[in-house]
Amino acid sequence: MSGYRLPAGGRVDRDRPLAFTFDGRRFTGFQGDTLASALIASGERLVARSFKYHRPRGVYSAGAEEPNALVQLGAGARSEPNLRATQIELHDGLVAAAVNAWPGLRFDLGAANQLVAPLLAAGFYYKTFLGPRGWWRRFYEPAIRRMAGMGRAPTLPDPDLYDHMHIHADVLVVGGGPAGLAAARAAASGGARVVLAEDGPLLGAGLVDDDATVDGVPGIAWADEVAADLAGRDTVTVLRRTTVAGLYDHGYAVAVERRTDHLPPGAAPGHARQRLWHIRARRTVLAAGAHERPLVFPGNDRPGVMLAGAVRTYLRRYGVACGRRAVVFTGDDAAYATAAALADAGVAVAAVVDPRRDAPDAAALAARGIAVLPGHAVIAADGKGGVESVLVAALDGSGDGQARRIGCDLLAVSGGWSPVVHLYSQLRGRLAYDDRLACFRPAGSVAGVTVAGAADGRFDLAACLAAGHEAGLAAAVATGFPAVAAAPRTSAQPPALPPAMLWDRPPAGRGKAFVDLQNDVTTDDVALAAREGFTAIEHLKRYTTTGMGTDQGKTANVNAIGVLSGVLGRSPGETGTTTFRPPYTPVAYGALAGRFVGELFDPERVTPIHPRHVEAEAVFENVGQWKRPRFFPHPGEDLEGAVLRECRAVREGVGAMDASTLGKIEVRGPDAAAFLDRIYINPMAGLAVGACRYGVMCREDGMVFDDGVVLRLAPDRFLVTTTTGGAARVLDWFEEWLQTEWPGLRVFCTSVTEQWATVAVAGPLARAVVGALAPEMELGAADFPFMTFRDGIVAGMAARVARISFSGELAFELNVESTAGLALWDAVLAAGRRHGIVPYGTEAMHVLRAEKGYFIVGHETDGTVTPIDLGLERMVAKRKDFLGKRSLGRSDTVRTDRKQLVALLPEDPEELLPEGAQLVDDPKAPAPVPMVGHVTSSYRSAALGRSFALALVRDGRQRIGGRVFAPAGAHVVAARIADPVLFDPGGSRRDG
Amino acid sequence: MLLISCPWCGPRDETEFHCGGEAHIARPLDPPALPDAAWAGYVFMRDNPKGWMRERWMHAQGCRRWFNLVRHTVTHEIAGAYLVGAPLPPLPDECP
Amino acid sequence: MADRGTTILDPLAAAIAAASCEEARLSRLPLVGQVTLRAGRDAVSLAGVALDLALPTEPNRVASDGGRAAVWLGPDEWLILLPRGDVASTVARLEMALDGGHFAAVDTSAARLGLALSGPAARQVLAKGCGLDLHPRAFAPGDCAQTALARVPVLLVQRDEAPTFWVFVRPSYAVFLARWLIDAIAELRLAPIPGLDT
Repeated sequence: MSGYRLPAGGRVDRDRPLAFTFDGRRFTGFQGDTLASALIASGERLVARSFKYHRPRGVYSAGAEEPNALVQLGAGARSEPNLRATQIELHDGLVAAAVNAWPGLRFDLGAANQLVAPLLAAGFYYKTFLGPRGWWRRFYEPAIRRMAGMGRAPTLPDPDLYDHMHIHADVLVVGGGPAGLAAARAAASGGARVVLAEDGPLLGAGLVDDDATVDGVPGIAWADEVAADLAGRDTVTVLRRTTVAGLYDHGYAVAVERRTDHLPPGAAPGHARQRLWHIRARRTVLAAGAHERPLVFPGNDRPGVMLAGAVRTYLRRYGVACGRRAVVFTGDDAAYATAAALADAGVAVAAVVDPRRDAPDAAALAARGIAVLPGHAVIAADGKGGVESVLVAALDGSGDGQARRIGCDLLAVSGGWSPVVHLYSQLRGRLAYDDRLACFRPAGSVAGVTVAGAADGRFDLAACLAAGHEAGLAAAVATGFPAVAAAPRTSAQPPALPPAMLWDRPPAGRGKAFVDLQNDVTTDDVALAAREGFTAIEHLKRYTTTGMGTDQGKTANVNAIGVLSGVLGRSPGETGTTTFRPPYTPVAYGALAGRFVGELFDPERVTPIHPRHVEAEAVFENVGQWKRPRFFPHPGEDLEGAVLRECRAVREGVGAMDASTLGKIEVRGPDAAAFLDRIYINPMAGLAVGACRYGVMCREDGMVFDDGVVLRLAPDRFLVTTTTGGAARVLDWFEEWLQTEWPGLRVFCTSVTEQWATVAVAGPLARAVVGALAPEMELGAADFPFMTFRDGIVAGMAARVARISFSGELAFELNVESTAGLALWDAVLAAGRRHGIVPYGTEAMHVLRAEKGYFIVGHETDGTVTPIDLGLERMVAKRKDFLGKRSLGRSDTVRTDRKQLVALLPEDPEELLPEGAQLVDDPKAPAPVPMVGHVTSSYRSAALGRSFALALVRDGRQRIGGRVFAPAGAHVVAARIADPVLFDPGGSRRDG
Repeated sequence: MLLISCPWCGPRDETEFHCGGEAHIARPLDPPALPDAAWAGYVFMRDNPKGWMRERWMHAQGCRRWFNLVRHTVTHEIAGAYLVGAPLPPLPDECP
Repeated sequence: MADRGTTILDPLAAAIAAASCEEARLSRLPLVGQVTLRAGRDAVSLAGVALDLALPTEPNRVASDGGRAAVWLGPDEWLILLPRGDVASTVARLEMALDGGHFAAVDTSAARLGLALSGPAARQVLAKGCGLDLHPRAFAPGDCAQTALARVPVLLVQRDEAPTFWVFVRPSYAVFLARWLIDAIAELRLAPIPGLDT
């Protein structure tokens, strides 16, 4: 037993006891406790085992900077690893366990690692455990990972909800301490929209640690008044339990609000457990405070060694004494208040040890019977399990020259303060080392951001209040609001002396002195790394892993910089800091995903006919965001069976496909024809009204970009169709040229993709089906030839019918207003029933077009393929310029050995070439085997009675009839190169 | 995420925009007359300055208009937007 | 309703009705006629005369007149909302008035579906998936914006101070967006979270 609950005091509700379990044992705390405060109050010193050496560790801090007390919270699907016990609000029935101890905290087998500690020094994974060959991967690494490791990620789906919220503010204030409260109050006073984000559950909670008054009342009462004022304003949003995880450009901040974590799991069903806030603010005030720094000496990691400020926080905020007999070891004034507070609470204070020669307040403490030892330092903390005594010695060797041993179970340490510069630094804000305060402070400026209070290195209450107030007013004024509030006044006094650090002194005592408690990095590790040449701080970080734990070195980094600088005899300012990156504290993936999970994972696009495809139990594929039916399996049918059947139906009978996803753009204006002539590689201006023409467009680099059919609706009016995935891209492309390069062209483009629903009816019996639906329409080849369209009535609906074929069969594309799409589909299937009509999906469509040698943009093309490569040289207009034309004459594009589109016929007609397979001339050639091409599409064909593929093969057209090989693992597939048009090369079926 | 002021719609999140790279690359008037190198310069070569840059942006999820933006490529500071066809504003570090 | 036609949202009608609560009411707008009008500078005032409804030239504003509205989509682009039965005659009138000018009037009545979201929490519901500043100081009745809601491109129109928003969306996205809105509204019907009084 060490810590205990004081009989009175603290902001906990002693009438509401809460039962909880830690590491399998039952405890009780109070409403208002954190897990850490309740454990300390219960006398638990040992709460964790360290990362590498499995050394016993206790609670070290009272906030986000906690390096030691990481726990696995909750059980089953709600289990969450590596949470800081100092930030976990206690609730009834809470279950937590230590993260890195097996079989248990008190008897941890991993502690044996300390015996082999010399093998685990800085950079050990580069030096030890190297041989025999293969052992690292097979034995050492798995074993080390098991021994090191931290908490375990849950394997079950997360049952909780998370969501997102956007909010805009004139002023964002980060931090609800004295500076943040003063800033928010000042900013809000003139009516500005203010967002105040506070990490903890209460605003200004830290003021309870302080005895000073603000505006004539105790600090905590002032905080409550400000909180009430802010709550009463509808222009202010106060977000408590909210951590600003990242600060980005132009006032964008991302924050995580923990909405239900203070309640037992499942206590607020339906509510989001955590909410990710997207905050956009015109001005930002960073009042994130400061973290107290440890002092570095042997044994400084033992349970019972704690930050002095945290010791005071546990006393004042939670009514918890962290020990029964304390030594305070401080190089900073602030910890003197901790000594006084401990004495106030009845805790014996054995000594205050201060390395500075001039200790402040020595007389006041001496009057209370507390010995102050100026010019002294703790050179070791000893004890089994936790601190039992400390060794104290004079720094200049004076006195009797002997270290003296002082018994204690609590050692409160303070090595000064490190401003929380993380968010400022994330925004590329420059930091500068302040020699007097021994810390890195914001320097320079970041547009729209003001750092105020302790985050700016102003550690006393008066300065925090003043700076916060100033920053808040300035932000309000800058965003157009009046300055109304008066500055808060306080009785607090600024500190008398600057802090002292001991970085240039190697530890005098024996044993490990820890720089990074979470990653078990010692002063010896830093010195070793420096000896081995890792003197740049970014190198030191990676070599020793200091600052690379889940706490990102909040208590460690500045000490690492200081110790390294001490070893090298240079200033910490010369060493500099590592880069701070988001997030400030870890963020759950669930919070990042928000509601974009399950059926809301990503926006899905469906056609008006989609409900019928679902009823037909189609198998869907994603084409961009579209859900398209890939095939319509009959019961017991697999992909291959369904696709062969669907293909056969189109080749021998009739099939219907939902083609609504194709992009459609109406291009209109007196210059529309001239415009399309510049866009397409083939002429469009001469297209007759009522006719259709297939067209291909290129980027300026001459590579195929999209394709589709163009319908001329009127002399000044065209309907352009695009690929499904290319619809938005093509419209943007058109707009880009019209707006930026050719503003003189009188052309307007309007997307009508979703105005129309399209059903393709294809197959030798298509005319009969369409004829039944459109008895008024002349459908004969003479009246309605291939590549023309007609407007008319289909199934009683206004429709546009086009004779376009992507299958090589007689085909009609029926277009109706999309609200009538479902009715059209039903009518087509009904009319086709007596002809055995079969709905077919994208997979059959792909096979059918590949049999005809038609390429698909994105399948056969990949941004490196020209129209010539695809065999379209006859389409390329000679007499006009078009986008990309000049590139088709570049030395690289006129090479004759470019990859060209061909078909491949595997020599074994049952064999299917793998799509994407590389092709070689000689599979037995020594590596590296020259690649001559690759397979772009590969199918089994019902019409051909065999397998086939499309491929891009170097100089392929000259090699028709030749052989290539596709190595597929150990197996090699041989194939003949063929002309890409394998089916009905004359096109008589299509034209029929 | 940047906050970009569309000349028409005002400040919007960067995710609503599409960046078109360096501005004021004019399409050659007579491409066939150009030697390969000159054409390649137009198609492939772009400045990538560390500092102020004139860029093309399009408000893809809004009014779908292209416009030009003066942006600092290191600090992301935006000096202003101007319409296609408007006179070239000086860069903030250029002498007027 | 005869004018509703068949839309992809029909199967969600019951779910949409059930989602609504005092704080946020969600409903489908009846099918409305939509004409996308592109007009060069010389054609804008002529088009206004032909429509008998001045086209708003201030960005992101809506001009309304009884059963019709002209929504600003771009400096040369508007969406005219009007009764379905008036689409053909309106397009014909525009084509006659602007003949020879730089313009395009295209019937896009089926290219967008409308949802209405109304009530004191409507802004909060939209803010879950929309980065636009919808605070009354920034967005008011008569304002419109094309933006993204739940990653889906939408056209937002604020109608009144209830506030009521119209959310126009491409039909292909409508089912996803409606599901997302139903989900976003759900928390409004729950008891508040104890101890969370933000």
